[in-house]
Amino acid sequence: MKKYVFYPGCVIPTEQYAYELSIREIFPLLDIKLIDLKNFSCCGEPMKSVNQMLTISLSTRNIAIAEAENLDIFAPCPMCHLAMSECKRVLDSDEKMKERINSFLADENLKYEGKSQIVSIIDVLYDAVGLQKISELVKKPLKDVKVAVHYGCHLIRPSEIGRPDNSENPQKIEEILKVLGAKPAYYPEKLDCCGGLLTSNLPESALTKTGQKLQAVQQQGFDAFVDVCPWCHRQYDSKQIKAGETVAAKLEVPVFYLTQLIGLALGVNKEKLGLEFNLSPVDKLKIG
Amino acid sequence: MRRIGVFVCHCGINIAQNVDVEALTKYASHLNGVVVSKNYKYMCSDVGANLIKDAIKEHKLDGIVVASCSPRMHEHTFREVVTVGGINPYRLEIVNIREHCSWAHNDREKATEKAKSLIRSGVAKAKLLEPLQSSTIKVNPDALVIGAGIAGIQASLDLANEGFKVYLIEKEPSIGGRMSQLDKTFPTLDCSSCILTPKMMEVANHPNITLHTYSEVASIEGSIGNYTIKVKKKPRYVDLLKCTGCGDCFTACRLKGRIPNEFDMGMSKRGAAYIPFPQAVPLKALIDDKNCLFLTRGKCGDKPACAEACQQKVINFDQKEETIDLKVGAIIVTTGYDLLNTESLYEYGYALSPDVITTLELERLISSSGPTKGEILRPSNQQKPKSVTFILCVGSRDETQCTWCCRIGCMSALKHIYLLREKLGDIEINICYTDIRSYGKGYEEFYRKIREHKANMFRGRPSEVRNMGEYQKIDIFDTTTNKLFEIKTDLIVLVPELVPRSNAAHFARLMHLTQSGDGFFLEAHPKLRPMDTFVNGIFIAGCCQGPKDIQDTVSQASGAASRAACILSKKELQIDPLIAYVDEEICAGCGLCVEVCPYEARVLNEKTKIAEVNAALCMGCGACVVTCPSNASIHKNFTKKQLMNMIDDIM
Amino acid sequence: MSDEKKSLASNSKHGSVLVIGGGIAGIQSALDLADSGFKVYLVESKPSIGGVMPQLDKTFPTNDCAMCILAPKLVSTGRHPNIELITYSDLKNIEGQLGNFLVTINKRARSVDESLCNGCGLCVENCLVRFKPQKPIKHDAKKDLSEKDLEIVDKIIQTCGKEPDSLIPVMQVINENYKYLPKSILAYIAQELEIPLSQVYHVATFYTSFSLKPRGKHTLRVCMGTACHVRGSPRVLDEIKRHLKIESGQTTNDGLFTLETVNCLGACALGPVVVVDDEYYPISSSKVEDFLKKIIKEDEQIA
Repeated sequence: MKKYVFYPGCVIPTEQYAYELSIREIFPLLDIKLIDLKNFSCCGEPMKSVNQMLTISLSTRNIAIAEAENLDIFAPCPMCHLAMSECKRVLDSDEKMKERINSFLADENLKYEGKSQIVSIIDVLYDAVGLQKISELVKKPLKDVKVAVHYGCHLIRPSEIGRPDNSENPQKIEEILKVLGAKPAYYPEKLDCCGGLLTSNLPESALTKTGQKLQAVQQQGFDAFVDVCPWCHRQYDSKQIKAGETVAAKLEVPVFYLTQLIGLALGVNKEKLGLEFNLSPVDKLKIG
Repeated sequence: MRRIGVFVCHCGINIAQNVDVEALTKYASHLNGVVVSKNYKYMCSDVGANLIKDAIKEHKLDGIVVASCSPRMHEHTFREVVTVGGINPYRLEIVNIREHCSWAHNDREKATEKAKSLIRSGVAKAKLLEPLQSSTIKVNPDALVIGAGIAGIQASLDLANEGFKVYLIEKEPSIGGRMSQLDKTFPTLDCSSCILTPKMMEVANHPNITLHTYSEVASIEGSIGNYTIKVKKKPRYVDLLKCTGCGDCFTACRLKGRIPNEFDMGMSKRGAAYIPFPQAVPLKALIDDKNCLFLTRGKCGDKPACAEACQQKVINFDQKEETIDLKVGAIIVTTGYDLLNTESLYEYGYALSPDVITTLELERLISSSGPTKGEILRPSNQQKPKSVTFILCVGSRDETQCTWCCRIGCMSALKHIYLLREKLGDIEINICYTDIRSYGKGYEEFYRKIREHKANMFRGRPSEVRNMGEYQKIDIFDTTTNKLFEIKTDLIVLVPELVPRSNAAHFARLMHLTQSGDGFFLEAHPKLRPMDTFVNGIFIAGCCQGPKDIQDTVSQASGAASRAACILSKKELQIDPLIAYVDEEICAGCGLCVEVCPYEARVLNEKTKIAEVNAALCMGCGACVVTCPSNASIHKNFTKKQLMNMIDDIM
Repeated sequence: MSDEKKSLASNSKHGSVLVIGGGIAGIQSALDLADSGFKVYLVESKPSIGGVMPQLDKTFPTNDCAMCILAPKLVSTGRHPNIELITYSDLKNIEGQLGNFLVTINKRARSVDESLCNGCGLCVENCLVRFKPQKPIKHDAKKDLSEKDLEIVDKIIQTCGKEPDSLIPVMQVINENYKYLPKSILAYIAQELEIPLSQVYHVATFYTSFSLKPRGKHTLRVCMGTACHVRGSPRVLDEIKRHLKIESGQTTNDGLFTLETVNCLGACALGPVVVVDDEYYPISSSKVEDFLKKIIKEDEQIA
């Protein structure tokens, strides 16, 4: 039984409920326990380009809350994961910065010591649980489902600080899907960004990127599209229709969270995986 | 009572600025045992030398202390001076008051005091120095050249033409190396084979050169002037003397067209019985024992097809590996380079599409003896490409891959532009470059000439090569126009980094060579001894030392041959007597010194159970002296008594 | 062939080599050859071997001190029993062929006995030339004029006044005298009147009446004013050009005629008008040839 502190971030608890629902459904089956703590705040990643001190302070505070429980912190959202990983890297190498931030946290009786690891969904599934265990639990293999995998950007970059998977040729999600019985396939646009972060300044460009990738995926005959990031999922799933309008294409691509597909393969009931929150035509996929 | 002369050097201002040389001279003159003390601006000059020589005569000196720069600079020089002056050269002690004193401190007073202490200890040692005699070893006048690419070929020919006997060994079944794979060479656009094959023939026919192909070095023993090398000669399963190179065997081979051809960089296929390439030297067949049906499974149809087809009946499956012992005086290593494996650079899409190739693969396509008989055809569909894009610096000048410049990439790409225009006419040619480095003689002129051929030059590196199925797509930001371009192209040519051979580390360990940080073999000094290594008697030349073009390779090869000739032309060599020796009465035969010697210069005599020192190999590092529990290992002129005296006098 | 096969494993010298140039390349070659047992003549045109490397401070990429890494080689070269240094010398002649060259070397005189000199430096310290102040020598423009010209120009300067303001009057008289402004005289004027030469040129090139090139003996000025133009002066100009084979502004090769055009001479009734030196002549295009011949004939008569 592995225990992690669950750090939901901002987008998941306020909008992308399906991700949290599916995580909480499948983790007990994989023998993972999630601990919920109070007082978490935003990770600070969206402000990183404007005020790095703020980002680091916020992230450190969140990590310190987890450290107080002597547990590692699990952040399903790759943006939060990157913020906290980067923050940990800075504080672990810069004593002065660590002292300074800790002086802010002292008011709340919090202290960052660097004991907790920042864990991503890939780290949990691939390393902590392992492919072997997942394959043993598969009840309803996703037979012949041709899946297009979307890693997103925050999960795999920047390579210099060490990310859960390789920046140029990530394969871990494919390997997980294979033990679920699915058929993940290569497509040239695999590493393209979803465009999500352009939304505030260049909304049309954002949707263009989203739409172009979905269009390519659709043209290449994929049955499903899978992602692990709430921002990406918002683009591909929630905004699929708008994206289609932007690129003048009729998009009908079923978009799932990886954890939803895992749930389906492990025989979990469709309703419990939050599939009703998916706006893309997930019913096209005849499973579960 | 010893009569010591102390000579203090100003070294211009290098010493004199921070150390009061006059005061030093005066101080030294009062030391016990010192008869005369002088100083001069440049002790290493002729004037300084004469000063010492005259003083020896005048004051009947029997020991010299020179207070100057590091002994690594001029110890050798001063030894010669002292010898001419009439004293044994090992009665000389160099006191380093430059690197160890003047250059390391700012306070003139304190530095002078320190220099006085140093000289005091130097005099203390000088009083106890023994007059050593150097020994000599006989020199074997034969040479070994390892690697028969253009560097090895050139070095062998130079030595052989001087009259030395040369053993040339080559790992591949044919000599010629990388140059034989090229079509044309820059900047003259000479046909590579045309300028190489005459030399290959010369090597094959030279009475002074013994060629061993399909052979590798297995072990090496000995030292400069006397190396013993074991060479493993792989079996070809073909009688070398009788084989005429007719080719019947490889036409008949049942595996013909199945095995990737290494010479064509895997772009064509051969059989198990094959001849490396049409101009191979020696032009003899061989059988690949990793793939041959008969050799791996014991059965090839009814009878082995090659043996059946061979008119001369030269196929012999009973051939075994041979071991050859060679005794030589000097060795030249010319083992060449490999190209970086671009598969690991995922972003360039090498593994994702057959239409992404490397420069050597393109050379094979261009070559008329290559897989497409000189037609440039897309590997994916065997059609002529309408657009070719070069990406330079793949893996080069890259903090995450290889930091060095490959030196030949820019020029190769320019050459290829010319050749592609010649073969394909007015197609679109794009180059994505970082800089165009056209540094050599005639290179800049070549560059200007090629620019007239109107290739599109983009300054930048594409972030990704995307396989779109029918074509390849790259996005590149051109830093000269500050514009982003999307290039749709049919054929992508990667110009990868030149890296050391895959077995370079193993080979270096075998030969006791050092590798530099980039993995290439390390030269003794990049400016002064660029072909020497830290192992006396072994020299390196060509790309195994670092990436370079053919011009520089040939120059280096001739240089290495000249360096080797310096040794081989002597009947005997003098051995530096500043080495360790064994006090046989004390030695208990424990063998610890043998284990600890990094030069493998010590051996425990099985009969007498006493350690022995190979004077030629011993470098005088002192590891054995420190290790010996009985103090039986002694370093000449660095004895315990001498060193203790020095320390006492400093205190 | 058999001689080549003979083993060279001996310490004796055989054959000799000439190395021309004693920089690091020559030094290294000489050392390698000498270590192989050959006698080497190392010829260097400077008084010392070393080349450019001793002039450097540090070398890339190792930042080694250039002299520190070169000095051991210099010393070895100087002391090597197989190397004969021939410095301060040049190659004069090479004869012969591979294996048998005869080389003639020109050894310049050091004025010092090389066998005795020990490089103590006393002569260097005491050399008188060493301490003479070196001032840049200014060239006296007077030296470039002939005595006759000097007399003429001095007189002109005396008459017009030896000050900067007299520049134009002086140049006018000289132009009249010599028919142009010779370069050497302009330099002298600049020196005497204490004006920068560039200033003198500034003025000389501004006015068209000044010419920096020698003028012909006779100056032909063709009037291109309206009246003359209407009466055919362009044709006159063309004819003159054709005969003399020069363009407007140029002088004939024999130095006889300089051709110019002017805008209006105010002699419209006579048009088309050509001014020869200071005389006005009405002329038609058909009469050009005779006209020119007449001038030449007159010259001969005077001569």
